[in-house]
Amino acid sequence: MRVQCICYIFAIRLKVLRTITVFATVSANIGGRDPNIIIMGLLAWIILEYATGKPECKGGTLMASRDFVNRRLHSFLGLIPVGLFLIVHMTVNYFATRGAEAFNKAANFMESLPYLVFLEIVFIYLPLLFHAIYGIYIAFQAKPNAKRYSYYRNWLFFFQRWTGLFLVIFLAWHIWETRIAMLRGTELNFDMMANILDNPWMVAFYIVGVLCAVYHFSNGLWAFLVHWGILVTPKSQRITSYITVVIFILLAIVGIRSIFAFVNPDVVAMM
Amino acid sequence: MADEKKVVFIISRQDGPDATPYEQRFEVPYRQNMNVISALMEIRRNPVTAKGEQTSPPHWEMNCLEEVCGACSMVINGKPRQACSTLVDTLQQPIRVEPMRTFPVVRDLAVDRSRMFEALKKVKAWIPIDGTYDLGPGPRMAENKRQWAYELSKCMTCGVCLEACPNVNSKTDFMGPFVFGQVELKNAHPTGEMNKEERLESFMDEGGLQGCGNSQNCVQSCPKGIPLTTSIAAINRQAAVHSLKSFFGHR
Repeated sequence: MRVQCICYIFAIRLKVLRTITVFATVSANIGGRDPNIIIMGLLAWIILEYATGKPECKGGTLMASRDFVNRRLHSFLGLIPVGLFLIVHMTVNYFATRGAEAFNKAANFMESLPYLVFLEIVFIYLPLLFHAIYGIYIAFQAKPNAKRYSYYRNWLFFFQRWTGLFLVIFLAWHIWETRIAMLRGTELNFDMMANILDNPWMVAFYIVGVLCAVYHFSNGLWAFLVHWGILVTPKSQRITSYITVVIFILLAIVGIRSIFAFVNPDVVAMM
Repeated sequence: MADEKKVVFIISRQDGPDATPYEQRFEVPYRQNMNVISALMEIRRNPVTAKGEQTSPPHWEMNCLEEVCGACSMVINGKPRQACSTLVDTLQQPIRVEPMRTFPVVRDLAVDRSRMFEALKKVKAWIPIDGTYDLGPGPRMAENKRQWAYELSKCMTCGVCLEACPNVNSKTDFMGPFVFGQVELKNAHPTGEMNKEERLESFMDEGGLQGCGNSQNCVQSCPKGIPLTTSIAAINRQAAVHSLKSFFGHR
């Protein structure tokens, strides 16, 4: 059991390390030789070392186990700042429904924030990387059994893991096409997204990606409230579950309308 | 007896801990209100498969026969439950009976649930009352507290919640959902409360409470109707408060 776990961690670690190395080399050569990429790569490596390292101080001390801390950190970072960033990001995107000019203005404002690189690294890349890497580890630890035990919560549990894994792929693609493309000289504006979304497959991929993100956030919000012991009674858990469904629907509308705003403004007007 | 009704069973057999499992089909004469145990006893009395081949009697564990000991837990038609309180009339035929493979299988339907008792030892799920002299009576427990704590005390370590939990498997060392109820029970006890931190800390160690992923299968599956997910959230709260207190200091 232990051996399997360790092998598994090593497999992930090696795979991610390789990806990051390739990522850094490629962008250093093709891109604008941005030192941010190297810094990000280094930081990602530190997180990786931390998250998958050997557990320390077993028993005796007044420290919670690393396993406990990692899990709670994973839950916390999922909401703050990753979840909050998702809301901000989707809100900025929603300006696209008011036309290209409104979107460009909003996007340029975000781009013009002071010490943007610091904000991006501390509030987006690092938490997102930790959440993603540790999330993959958590997802593969489960033995899905929703077919046999087809209860509502068990299906949500199952989808939480699948949407998470899909989001790792989707976000890697999305960041490559936007943030990395910017480093390589593409200008951030309405046309950038309009060009990305100029074929139906990409539109479908983005719709699935946005729905996964919104689902993962809404259900993760509920899980956060249970993990931190805020919702204890079945009644509070049930009512919050209804609230998260409403959050899901509202955010899904925001996301899908934004996507179609880049594809065809006339369609959005009808929605 | 022209039209004698038969009950069809497909039983998963396994000759030893490392042997390969195989299935055998049995037909048992129907009796009114029969439970799975009585059918298994009938097969044991006459271990002949539906094809007419003589075989060894199937092996399983049982004890109380009234759903309070947890020994006869097995997977019946896909769901883990006690063979004593599962009535044949409520089941679709053929009735498939398998061991709870989350645990090491000893033989046929008997499994080794030792890991549950080890888990209870690890989290100190007991109330220390021994001293070098008579400590006198402990503090009284409020009646309204006793009422909900009593529900938690119904746990019979049957293993059904571990079998149903997607996070209890060979890839993790998560101790299982039942531990939450037992830690909450002992932490709620006025004397047990004095060792609350120790219990929480050992439950925050490897394989501890952080292994829960909120699939909530446990509360759906528990034969005793123990509100396990309420205990999970309550222990999560105690652990969160405890970890903050021990980090920032509390005196």
